[in-house]
Amino acid sequence: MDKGFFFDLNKCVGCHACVVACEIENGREQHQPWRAISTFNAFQHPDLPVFHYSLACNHCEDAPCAHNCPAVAFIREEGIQTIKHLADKCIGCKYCTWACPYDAPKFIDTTGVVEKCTLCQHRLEENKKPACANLCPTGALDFREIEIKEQSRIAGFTEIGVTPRIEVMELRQKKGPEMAKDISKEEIKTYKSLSSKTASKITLKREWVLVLFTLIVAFLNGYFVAGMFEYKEFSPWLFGGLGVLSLGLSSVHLGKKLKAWRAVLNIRNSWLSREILFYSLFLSTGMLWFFLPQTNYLGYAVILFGYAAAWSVDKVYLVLIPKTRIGWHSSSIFLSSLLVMSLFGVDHLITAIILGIKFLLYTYRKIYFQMHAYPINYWLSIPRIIFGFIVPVLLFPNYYEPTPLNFMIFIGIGELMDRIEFYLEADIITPKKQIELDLLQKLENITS
Amino acid sequence: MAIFSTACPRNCYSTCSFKVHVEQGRVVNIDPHSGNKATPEGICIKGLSYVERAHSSKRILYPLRKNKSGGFDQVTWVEALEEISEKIRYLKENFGPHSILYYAASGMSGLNNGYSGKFWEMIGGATTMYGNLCWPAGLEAIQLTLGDNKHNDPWDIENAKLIILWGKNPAETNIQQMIFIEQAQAKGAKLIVVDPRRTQSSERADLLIQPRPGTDAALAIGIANLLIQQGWIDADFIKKYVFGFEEFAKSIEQYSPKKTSEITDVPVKFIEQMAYDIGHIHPMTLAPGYGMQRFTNGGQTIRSLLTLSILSGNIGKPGACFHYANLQSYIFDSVKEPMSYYPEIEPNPKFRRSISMAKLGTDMLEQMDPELKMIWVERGNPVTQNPDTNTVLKAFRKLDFRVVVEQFITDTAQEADIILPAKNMFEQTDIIGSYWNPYVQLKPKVLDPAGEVKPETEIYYLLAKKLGFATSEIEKYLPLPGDENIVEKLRQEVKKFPELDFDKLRENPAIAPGNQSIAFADLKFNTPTGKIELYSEQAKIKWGVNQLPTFEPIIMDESAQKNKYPLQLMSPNTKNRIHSQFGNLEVIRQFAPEPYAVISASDAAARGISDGQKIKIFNNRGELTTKVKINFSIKTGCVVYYNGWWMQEGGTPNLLTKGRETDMGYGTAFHDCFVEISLEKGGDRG
Repeated sequence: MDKGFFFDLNKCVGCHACVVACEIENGREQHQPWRAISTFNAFQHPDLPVFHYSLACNHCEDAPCAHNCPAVAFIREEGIQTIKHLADKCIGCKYCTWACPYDAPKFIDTTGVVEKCTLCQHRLEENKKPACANLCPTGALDFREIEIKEQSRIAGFTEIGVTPRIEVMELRQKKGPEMAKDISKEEIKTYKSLSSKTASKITLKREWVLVLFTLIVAFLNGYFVAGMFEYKEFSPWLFGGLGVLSLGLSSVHLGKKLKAWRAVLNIRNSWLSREILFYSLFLSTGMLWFFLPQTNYLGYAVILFGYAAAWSVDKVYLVLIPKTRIGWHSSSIFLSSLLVMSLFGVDHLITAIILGIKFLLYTYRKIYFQMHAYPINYWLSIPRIIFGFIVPVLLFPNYYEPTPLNFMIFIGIGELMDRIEFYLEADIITPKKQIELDLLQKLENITS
Repeated sequence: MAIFSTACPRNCYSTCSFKVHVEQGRVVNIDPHSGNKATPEGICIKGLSYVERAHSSKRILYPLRKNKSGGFDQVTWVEALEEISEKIRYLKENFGPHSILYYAASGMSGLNNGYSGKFWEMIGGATTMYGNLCWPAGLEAIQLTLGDNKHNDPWDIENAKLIILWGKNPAETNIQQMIFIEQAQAKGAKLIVVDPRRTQSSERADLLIQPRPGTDAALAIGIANLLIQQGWIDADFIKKYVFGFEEFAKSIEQYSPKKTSEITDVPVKFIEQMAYDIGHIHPMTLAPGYGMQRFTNGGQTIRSLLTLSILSGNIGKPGACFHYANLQSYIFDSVKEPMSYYPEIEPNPKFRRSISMAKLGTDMLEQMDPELKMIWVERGNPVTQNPDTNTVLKAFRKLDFRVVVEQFITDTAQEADIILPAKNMFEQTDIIGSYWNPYVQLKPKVLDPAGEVKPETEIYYLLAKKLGFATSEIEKYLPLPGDENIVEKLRQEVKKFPELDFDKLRENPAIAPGNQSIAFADLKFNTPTGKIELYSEQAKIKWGVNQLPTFEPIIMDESAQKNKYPLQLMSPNTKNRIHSQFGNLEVIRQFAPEPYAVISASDAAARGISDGQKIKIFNNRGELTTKVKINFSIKTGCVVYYNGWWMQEGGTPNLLTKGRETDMGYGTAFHDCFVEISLEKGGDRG
């Protein structure tokens, strides 16, 4: 048996003492508490229970923060087995804040690095419980010997196969109290809209540089292939310039830009490390290829790095909540790289195939959204279909014709819109998000 | 680092013991104190906030004097006391000591508080307050019925098989009670909650009954009638220990489930269910809150609720009690509550005039011969917390001189001419009891007073000096400055009880001498008949109410009857505050940054209001503007605006309440309060 958090849903009343205890113990400002309370059914649907989770870091067996951190800034401590974050190794890329389903790592603007619950290791060493468990007034949160196992799915609690070191005691009574209050059909609509307002942790406003970065990756991939096979004149200035620009863009959001080099240290596990490594290799070998005698072998290596980078870009986003049943997204950078390549390479057949695949993926996604009542932004979706699919079909060149410029521009606009939508729709699991998803699911069950 | 055992002196059931870590003159951390069986696990966020509160940058550390522009300037103690003493001298000579009003409330409990009254007695008297803002209607109801205010030890709830929380929300106001309720539930106990709101405490309940506010007595009487009709009563217990059963049974015959349902708006099936449970599941602990008795029918309501425990024989047994107030640890009080709230029956010549806590504003304005000229406020925030804020403010502003002893610039402090910095709980030794757990607790001095702060006992000592009293005279009334003198006085108090040891109190709380773990286990009742009095002649004589528990409709203002103000205002407490304390601290503000109202989805829809908008709550006494939250479980027709918000923070619910006394005990009937709400112009989300 190992030690870990024990949390009893029957006992927690959402009093926040654990949050304050943590703040006092760890001497922090109140801006970004490490521990948070999330409430199920906060608007009190009469037919559903209200309960709370108090969660910080669960120091998971297979910790997704450590797994995904490109800079190897998380380590597992020997002995007490906490997942420790090393501030001096952190580059402030925030990828762990996407990867952790418990919202444990917090990015602090003022320090430029992430911080999180330490399990009060300094207390554990003195044989004391973490402050939160020590001061829980009802005994709902404890730290003790637990059975660490994959949790069965309890409403509102995420277990994505990371084996969190927490044992959750389920509600004895799965319903709220019996009461006379009814809820009308009209009110259910209001209830639903009020209950589904959990803000996404990923927003276009914050991540717009990633739209540009990822599209440049796709563009340069296609551009290099076209240049290498001489479909297009290869300009090292354009290639190098865009390459430097994109690297610059991708480091804009780093809290610690001078430590950016650390981003490639976790090739073994992190798709982010792989993306950065492959992309850097792609850019540097691409330049080498131009200035050295242009050997095909080197050229093939460049292409390999480029597509590996594009593949990695797509994989970086595996941490998002899958919104449909298909793993592929219409704005996949891998597909877009192929698309650009086919456009520059004047291979209209491949262009048609990729556009077709993208169209199918896009419409499938929108229909899926429609069926599941997810919001659809028609201001983007309709132009995306018109400019990105319909107009290109109308302008589609004959087999032997060179690719018309306006054709390419329209496809480019469509791609841009799709990528923007990708970030608008992007969302990750947090305790609050999980609660929202499960709540809406339960609501569907009781209303149907 | 030093660790001290201490206890929280707030006006709160729990009265937690805790351990405080002090390092280099600062409170740095807090630990639970397992020596208190009622609060073994930990203290709430308010208690934890002491780490901030003790050293808050918002604290008042020096005497302050109001300047011409309405702000405050720092003055020396000499200047402040000079001005106050001159004022007192002048008023005494020209208008008599009764032109000064001495107002103290429940901000901090402790034996040292008693010295304040002694000071005013020493200088020749003052107008004082009678009554209380909180709970005396219920205390009086229980006093009349059972003869004493006590209940089983808090942890005894674990033994109950049926628990009824009636208008009580311990998850927010008495958090450790949830430990024992949960223990009982884990062993299969049934929990019923009666509350127009769906509170956190009702989440694990089996049944939530939501009566119209103010109709609780009717619900109780309706259930009592069913119990009697069905024979679900403890006839043997009634025969031996209850006085007035026949009269009571006869008087409530008309309360059929149908009629009860009409009055209370509780479905008949729930009334029957509750009666069945009370009749069949024993032992039962019935824990009423204090909100219900802050109606004009409050005392009669608590008497009515009591009948359910009495008829079912749930008094004086493990797991069975009426869990209202447990005054068994108040061993040092010379006059017990609720009697301590009565005006002096044979007026002390020095305190021959007292005014009503409930009607503070109007009473202050109405005093003649002499008119009130000065007020001294300590441990209280009457501008925010007494009913009818607008009238209270008017009365305050009519005075010539206002002194407020405070830790923070509250709404009341803002009205002061002179603010004197008040000590906090760590800066003077004291002894406190609890109205829930049975412990006597020592709260030692662990910090030197911050800045130029002086404990009230020292303020009074210095003021007496300024007024020309000789030290030898002062000593008869007040302790001399220095905590060692306080300790000595407390040591003498403790010596009166051989079971207690002052030095051991420094380590652990002690169960009060004579505590009955199971209250009334001896089945002795300190009433005129020596029995539990369903029929109480005293009720009629002392308060002019019916000898029997009755349902009396609450007062509707005329405008409410005409449906101008159709909604009932509820102003319950939250976990974030003790009345108007704590809300200004950053620790609390992170969870409760601004006030808001809660209304039902249907009341909102009827008025075109949506969640997050700004609304106005108003009646003929006042109005306030606030954000609104929609809720799908609160009883339709109720508006919640939580107790304790300051005017500075957006407005107190007392802008809407009226100063009325309860039917007994000189309590305050805040809750006979009807309002209307409307969307505020430009009331967009913001």
